[in-house]
Amino acid sequence: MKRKLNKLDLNLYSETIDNGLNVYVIPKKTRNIYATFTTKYGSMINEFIPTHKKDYQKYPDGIAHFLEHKVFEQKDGEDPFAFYEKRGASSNASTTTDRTTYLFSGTEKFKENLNYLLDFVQSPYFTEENVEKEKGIIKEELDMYEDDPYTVLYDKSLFNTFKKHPIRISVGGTKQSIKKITKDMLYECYNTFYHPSNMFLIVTGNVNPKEVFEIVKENQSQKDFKKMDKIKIKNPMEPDEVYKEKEHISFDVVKPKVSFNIKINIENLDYSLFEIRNYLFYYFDLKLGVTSEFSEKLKQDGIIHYDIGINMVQTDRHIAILLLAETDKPDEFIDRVEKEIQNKEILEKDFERKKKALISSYIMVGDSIYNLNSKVMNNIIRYNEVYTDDFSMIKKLNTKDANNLLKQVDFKNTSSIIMQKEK
Amino acid sequence: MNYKKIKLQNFNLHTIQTNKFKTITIKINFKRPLKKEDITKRNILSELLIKSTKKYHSERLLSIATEELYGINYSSYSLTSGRYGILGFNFSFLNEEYTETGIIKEVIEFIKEIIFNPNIENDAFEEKSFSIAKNIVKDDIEITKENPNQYSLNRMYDLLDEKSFLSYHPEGDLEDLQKVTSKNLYDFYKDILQNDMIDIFVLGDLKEENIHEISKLFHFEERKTYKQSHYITDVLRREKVKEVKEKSTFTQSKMCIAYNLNDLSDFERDYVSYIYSFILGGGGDSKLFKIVREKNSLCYSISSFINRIYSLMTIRLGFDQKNYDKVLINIEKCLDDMKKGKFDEKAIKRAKSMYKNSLREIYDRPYSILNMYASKEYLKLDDIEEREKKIEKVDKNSIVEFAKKVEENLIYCLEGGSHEEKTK
Repeated sequence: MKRKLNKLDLNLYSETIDNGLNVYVIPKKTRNIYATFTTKYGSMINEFIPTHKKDYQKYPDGIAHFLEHKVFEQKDGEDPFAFYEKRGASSNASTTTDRTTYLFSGTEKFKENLNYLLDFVQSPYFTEENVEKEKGIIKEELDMYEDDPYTVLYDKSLFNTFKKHPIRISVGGTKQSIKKITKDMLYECYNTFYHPSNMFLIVTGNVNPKEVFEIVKENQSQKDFKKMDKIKIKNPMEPDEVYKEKEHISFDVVKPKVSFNIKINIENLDYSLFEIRNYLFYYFDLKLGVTSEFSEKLKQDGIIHYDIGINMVQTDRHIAILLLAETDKPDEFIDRVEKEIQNKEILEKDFERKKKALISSYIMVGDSIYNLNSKVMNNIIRYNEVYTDDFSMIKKLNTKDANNLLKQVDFKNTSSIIMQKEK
Repeated sequence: MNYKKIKLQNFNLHTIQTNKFKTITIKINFKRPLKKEDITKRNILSELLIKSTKKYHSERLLSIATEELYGINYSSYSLTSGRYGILGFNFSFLNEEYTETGIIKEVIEFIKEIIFNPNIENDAFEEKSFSIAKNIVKDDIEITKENPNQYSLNRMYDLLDEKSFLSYHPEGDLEDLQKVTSKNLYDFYKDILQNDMIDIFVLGDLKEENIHEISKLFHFEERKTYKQSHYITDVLRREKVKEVKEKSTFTQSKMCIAYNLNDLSDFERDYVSYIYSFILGGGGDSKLFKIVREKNSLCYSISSFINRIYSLMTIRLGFDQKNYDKVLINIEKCLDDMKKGKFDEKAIKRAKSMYKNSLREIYDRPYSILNMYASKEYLKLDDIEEREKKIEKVDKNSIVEFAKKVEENLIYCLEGGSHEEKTK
């Protein structure tokens, strides 16, 4: 299927392969080609019925990330980094709460590179020995995160904002939890979530879409995947209340850091997820971001020096807004933010201005094969479809709907964390 | 892609005509010989100038203005490049076709506002904006202590050669910061506008009239030009390797090892060094990664990089303190392998294809292209086509010869607490 990406002068081509794998291609006249191969499996899935089994099973925290490391291990001993380097390409992988992605970029030998991406991800090789060895490496990785106050604060914010949903668990797990991971568990997770029907491939850059589909079909036809039923994942009923409203963390930081997190129930709203996400984001951006009088005042009063970081996290029932800042007066900061966000209204002239900038950032996405690729990926993960006319969707956003939506949500469930040196 | 360098009266205008992008990108650099105290001042300026102007009194008003102009992306930076310090600005915005006619003119007005009309009161920067910017730089300096990577690298440079430019921290210095006032900073900025060497780089689908407008944008008075090279080749050498360990409250230990690269030819500095460092510690298939991380599980990250301007190489890693001795033995082994030529032709081929791929990728990103022309201007690097040819001339023999010029200088270790895990 060929669809025009409005205003970008580009087309999106897509096809579903017989085994269920979705393939998306955006050709563009660049030197480079960027390909990502993603499974809809990240750290927030930790209890499910493994393929060909009957009962729910719970897995140790951090197993999706552990699995990502191990998928890089190849039976013949040559690892993907080396394979791609030989061809002048680079490769990498990453795990987040909602996905695991394997990727390469390179200007040459595309066919070989793409075949290899599919092959190495689709040929797991886990042994007791190589699983044990990985534990040492991941422990070092976790140690590194443990030293980073921003990571610690972010992880803790999710942990305290959610009560039951596994999004509260940090992507890498803990040093204790990864110890429990075995070869068999890895295979169970792998066989469930790395089935082609749970994955998608996106190629952006200097390619011919027809050729991409042919390579993928040829490659996949040589592999035997059993038909899969829908994966059953246990999602505990997450309440609207937060796990912990207030916490102090003692951490050796020069500047105290603070997070203020708002948990918003998004079920039963009259708006699409695209609208909900944008209205909520721009509400907080207008209230607390760099163009707000609030932020200007905080800076003048010396409460903050840098802008407040506004992050958005989404689960099936909730959106959490994570506000992160550095301040010498954490209590006052929290107090003032709490008051500020209660006056829920957006002004038309402000919102129209934000839309102008949003449209232009959408058009700029078209200039980069990396941004195009992540646009498609984010669309699939967030909305389960790829939007080709963001331009019109943004145009349609309006102040009336924004204010109406704001009436339907409440900001009473909050969690705050103050991180500072022990006095 | 069509590159032109136009020597205007008192600055260089570099234009790169291309229709590959929907944006126009502009980069403006002010450059002068490096002094330590200027770094902190330049850092404050780079915070201050893009956060308020005479017309847009605060960051809020300035940000609103940029949103009205279809979300111009803009930033400023302060950096050091060997013998020189640079204050620079980046602007990128959608071409008229995607916004509205006249946008280029409006953006140019906006750029002029930022550079020539700072927020001044009584011949000094306006106090509120000044103190916000100063506080940010103060935070930046203090916060490096929280970042074990940056902190350990700074300490390594300090200990390497206290007298050299190397020991000037890029984030600035607290003592220098104390001395900066809104008045003397404004004097410094006026001096920059009057005396610095200026290069302006513009990339995009440019019409003749756009270039004309941009060249008219700046009226700079006559100034001297600095001819001295950016490169510094006299970093202190040491007969005996210096080993320094310092305690920290971090969990993980960080190690930085510095090596002098002695008496390099230009070819070795620009080409052989890249291939050597790539094979040694450049990626997932490098010797260091394979031996220290994969084979012995001694660390999570390990890599080597070349600081071409100073003829230095650094190996850095994060590891568990209890493995200190083992780590050093294994690193030593990797370096020894390089000297003995224990690497195969395939590794060289791999490094070369990575190098060439990274060159080609430059053309896909506006800022990469501009940075490439900037470093051509400043560091006299060869053209991309020339670089693709020259890298092919690197062979095993030249790498082994290069390996002999790698001389260990300093081992710096920021010790983490080798916390034994708390088990239940």
